Amino acid sequence: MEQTALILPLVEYILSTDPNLNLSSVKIVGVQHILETTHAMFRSLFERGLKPENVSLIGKCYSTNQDVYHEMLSDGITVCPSSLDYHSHESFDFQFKENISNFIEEEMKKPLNLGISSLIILDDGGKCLESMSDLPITQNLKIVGIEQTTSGYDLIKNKILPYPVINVARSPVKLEYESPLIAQAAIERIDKALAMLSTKPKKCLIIGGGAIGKAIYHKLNSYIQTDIFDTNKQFSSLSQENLPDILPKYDCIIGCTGRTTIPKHQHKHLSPNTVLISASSSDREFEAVHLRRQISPNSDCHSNLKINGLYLLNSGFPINFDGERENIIPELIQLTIALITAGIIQSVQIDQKKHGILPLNVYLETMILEQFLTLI
Amino acid sequence: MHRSNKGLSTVISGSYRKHLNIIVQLKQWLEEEGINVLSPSGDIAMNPDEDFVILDTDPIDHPELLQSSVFAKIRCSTFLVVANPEGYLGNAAILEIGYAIATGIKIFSLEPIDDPNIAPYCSLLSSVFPNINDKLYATASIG
Repeated sequence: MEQTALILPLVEYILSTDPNLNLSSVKIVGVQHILETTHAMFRSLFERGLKPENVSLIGKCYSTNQDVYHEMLSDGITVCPSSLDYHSHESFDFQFKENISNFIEEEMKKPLNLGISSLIILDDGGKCLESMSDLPITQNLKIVGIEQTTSGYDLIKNKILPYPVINVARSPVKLEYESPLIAQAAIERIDKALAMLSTKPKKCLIIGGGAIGKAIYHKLNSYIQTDIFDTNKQFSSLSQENLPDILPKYDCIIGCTGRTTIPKHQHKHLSPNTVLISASSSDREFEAVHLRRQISPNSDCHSNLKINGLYLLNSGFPINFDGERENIIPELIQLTIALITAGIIQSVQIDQKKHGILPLNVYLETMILEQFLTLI
Repeated sequence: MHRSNKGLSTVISGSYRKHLNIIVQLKQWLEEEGINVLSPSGDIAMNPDEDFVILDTDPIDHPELLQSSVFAKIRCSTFLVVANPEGYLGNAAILEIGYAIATGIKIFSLEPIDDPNIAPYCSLLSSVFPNINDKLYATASIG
């Protein structure tokens, strides 16, 4: 049965605030989740003149939905085939670095289509912006970057880039309102995954007391005994400071830091039947590749794996990216997508002479929040 | 037939735990009068025994986000309706009345409000719709 094309009212709304927006001379290159809401945003941008042949994207295997991937290709968008690549015996970050490098190399070889005067580098994780930092600046081509994740912002914040970067990642609206949305999606997926396991965790440890860790803690603690550990004591519910000492006390561990929290050499501290769940990004929270290498290679990055008595949910990738068309319901995640759209609008309006990391336009951001709150 | 109240929007404040049935009836009645009811959007309580009640149409169960959404809808409203059967006002309703006062929109209550700080800002809904209470209480039970 043919799917009805998804429309995101908040994206449509923010685009309607600039009736003169014309994207016919814009090329967009970047890293995005290959999910239905991303595709919906691009379809809305096509209505404002952006041409599908001027969009080149690379996705991450764990946040790429195969159907959406093919639908984007059918629309004429270039989506790098490596967006689907997964090798269970390699770390995702290692594979992705290589994929990005190849993708950028290919993109740089392509001549710009006739009439292109602006290039937007739309990034999720900073790698694309970093790789394209050597781009020659010419008078005929305006280049603007957009970064949508804090990890990406951290990667580029001390670098001197030859073009301005719009900081969607640290937008106050994103920081305050996106975490509850991610936490809710994560909890729903955690409940679903735990229900399918033969083991039922009794005591849960959340590592990382940031916005997402805290939000998951408040939800989970109502039905499973849960503690939260953070190296910053003010965010921790535990007085212990040494993580390896406390690991054996828990049979469910949720990583919410975005970094490696339980490296390979600490796996020995985990109790048998412990369930490992990531709620951040990539597969780095538990150095999952070292666990996956203990079993035969497999091709599905969304498998729940049992490895020498440990359960590695979603192969160590973020639990809310489970291969479905969406990771969070469109009604909610349209907030993030609309902020990215605002970044694109700002990129078109911006003066190329500006440099450094620039905040997202407060006026656009405020309008998005106000409209979002009336839509939910 | 809908009356010509096109362009009028409202939020209904009241206790979802104690008076959801009255609130739902009131919403239906206001919509029949051509008034756009921005909140509540749902009709069924998912957790009727908890302190913060989530409705069937709420896409998220985050209290701050949902309350911020109600405030945003009050900002878009022409007036606030307070559903206060037997004069009951819960904390959320009082909070929203205060917000509506600060926003500068009119406030109509189902029943008189005794509190001397709040009462001067409120009028009875029956002053605009004379038969509203009879219609509501005939179809919905309190509690």
